[in-house]
Amino acid sequence: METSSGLMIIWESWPMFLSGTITAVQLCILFLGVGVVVAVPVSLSQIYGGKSLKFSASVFEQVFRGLPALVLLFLFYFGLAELDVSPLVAATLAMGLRSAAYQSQIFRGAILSIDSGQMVAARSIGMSRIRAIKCVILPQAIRLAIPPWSNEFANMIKDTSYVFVVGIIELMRQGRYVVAGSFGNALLVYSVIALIYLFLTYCGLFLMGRLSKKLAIPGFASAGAAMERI
Amino acid sequence: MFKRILVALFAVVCFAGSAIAGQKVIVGTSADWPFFEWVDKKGNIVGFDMDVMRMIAHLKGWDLTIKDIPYDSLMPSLKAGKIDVIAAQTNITPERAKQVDFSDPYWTADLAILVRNDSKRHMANIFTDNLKIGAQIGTTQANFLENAAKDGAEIEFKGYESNDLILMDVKAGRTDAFIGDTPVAKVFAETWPVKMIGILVPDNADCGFMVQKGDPDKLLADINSGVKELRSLGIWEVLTNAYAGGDLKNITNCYAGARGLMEKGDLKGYAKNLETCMTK
Amino acid sequence: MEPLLKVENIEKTYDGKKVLNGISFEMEKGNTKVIIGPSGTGKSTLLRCVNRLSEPEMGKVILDGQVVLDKTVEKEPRIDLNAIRSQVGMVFQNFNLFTHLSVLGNVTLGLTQVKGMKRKDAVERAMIEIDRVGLADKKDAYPALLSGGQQQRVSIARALAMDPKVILFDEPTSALDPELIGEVLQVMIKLAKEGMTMLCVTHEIGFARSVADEIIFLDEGKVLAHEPPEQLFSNNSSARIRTFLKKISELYGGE
Repeated sequence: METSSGLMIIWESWPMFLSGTITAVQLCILFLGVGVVVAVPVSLSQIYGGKSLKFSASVFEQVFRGLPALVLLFLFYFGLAELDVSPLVAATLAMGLRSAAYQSQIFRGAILSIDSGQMVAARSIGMSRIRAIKCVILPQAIRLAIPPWSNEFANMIKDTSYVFVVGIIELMRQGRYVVAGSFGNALLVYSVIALIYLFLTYCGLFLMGRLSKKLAIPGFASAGAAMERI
Repeated sequence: MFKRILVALFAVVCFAGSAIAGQKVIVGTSADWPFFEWVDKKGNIVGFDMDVMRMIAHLKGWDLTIKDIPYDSLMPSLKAGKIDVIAAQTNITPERAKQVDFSDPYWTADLAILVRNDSKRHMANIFTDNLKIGAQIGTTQANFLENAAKDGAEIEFKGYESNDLILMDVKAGRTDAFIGDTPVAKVFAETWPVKMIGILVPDNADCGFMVQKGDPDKLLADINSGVKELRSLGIWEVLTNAYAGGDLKNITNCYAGARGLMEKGDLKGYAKNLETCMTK
Repeated sequence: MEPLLKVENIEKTYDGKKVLNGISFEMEKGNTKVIIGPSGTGKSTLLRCVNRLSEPEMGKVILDGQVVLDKTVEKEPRIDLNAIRSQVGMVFQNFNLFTHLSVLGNVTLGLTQVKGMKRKDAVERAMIEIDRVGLADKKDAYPALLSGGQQQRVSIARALAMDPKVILFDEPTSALDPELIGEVLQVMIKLAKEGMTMLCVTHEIGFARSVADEIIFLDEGKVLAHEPPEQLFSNNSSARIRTFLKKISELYGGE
């Protein structure tokens, strides 16, 4: 296959690449979003919870960190067949909860690295524990968590390529279509896809770096640490 | 104004009504198997199997949805009731028949063997010397190779998730031969630096469409009689010619040009139009 | 008249060791009391037992007529600890300023979040206290950029803003460089003179001598002496106290 005709195929297939890219970004945001919403209570339970709460949070974390993404996807899609879950719901549960398990460890690490005196001081002026977590612990933890969280983002944008196993048409699958339809430009097509993933990762990390800088507090945490990664 | 809304509402109700009238059927396929099922440049799932399904839907009044699912996930999806039919050029085997119900055979798969252009191998010495031979996992060809290896043939079977990966390995010399269906292999022989050295026809190479065990939605009768009808109307042959004899790279334009006829219900017109366009 | 703060028979065990063994004392409103004693004798723990940041096994604490702690009865009455803690200021050895908030943010947080004040009123109130500790020009600075002495003054302002009935000082100058101790002590002396009720754990003998109404000498979990400074620093104290005071004077300069 001539390179020039290969490039033609890439050019003609741009709507497929675009739609795959948009899907990848949407999935990434969705999974990470579910991850954050679940991870914060899980990490708080692991640190401040009672015995049973601590235990359940740990079991959740261990299970979802211990299983491969593909296994989780199959479990949720076929395992919940009785409930007739859609591929998107199954993928969101599998990938979102998996991300939550990883993110919970990021938040846990961040919270634990905050000096215990912060909590004591907050309690000493009469704040309830929940209010202290909300007003004192979390604002600091979030800033500390941004650099490791960027890492989770970089993993997630790539991991969206797993979800085709339950039939969601994302970037990798669109690439397969282009390859199958163009009869043999695999290397070129996958190179384009590689560039798209690189570009998405770069953009994401750039935005995280900006956020980190925006939230930076003089003398606190490592401002712009996320930026240094790229 | 109010009248207009009423008319619009009425139209919507009628449209919804007509949509409800057909039996909802979800067909699953793995759209990376050109000739039978793949995706054109506009993102449409096209191919022989797909045309057959669309035509049966017309004949039997199905409300059809086609879903692309990886080949490995098709059977679990059918068993879990996520889809109603698998149309993915699948070999009828006793193991599969235990889990799903097959339609009457509609295609006989064969084994076309491809090697790199500069290879000295031929049919007599291809299954010797522990050569590495690749096929797409879950296909007739893969099953054949797996069984042959188990039965003591001097080959090393390499299963792949998709055809382009096998062909890349053959091109790079990491795999010695590719085995696929003849029509598919013909296309590859034209577009990749590979050549066809021969064709084998194994026993039990019949392919069928699949439905859930016990056929709970009563679809088998529709499929079987639908295929018969297409054959007797002469549409089947034209359709086979279009794909087997045509240049699959024309599919995007040809499908775009012909699909209107299909949507109008002119199945024969569609097949003829497609054939002319593909073989041009 | 009822004392403002009444602490009775506090007992507290840490790792099987009794660090507090039946401590009792009372404070009148406007009093300044200093707790001294060798390290590891439970001085800080005693402070934390007063607002129950540390939980003693035995004892009773009454603040301005409200029960803070009562282990003498089988079942304690319902106690709104958060409400009580908001009436007890606390100043820590390590300042413990909220690192993500500016000086103003540190002082207003309790006002808006605990006292439910409107932001505008809270700022107004906070500025009075920030001004009182002499840091009005630093109101927008973040803790990490302040000197230790400045940070400790902010933490005093944070405690003051809550209008506390009593402020607990837990070795407020121990983490400071010598040249920064003075500015914090000055603020504390000023507060004492203005009539704030203060309970201080400190090694600053000079401060104790000049400001304290009474000094509690704690040793091995027990009150060894509880008397006005003149008396404690006179010669009729026990040998144990005299040795300690001598050592402390050498270490911290004393007077």
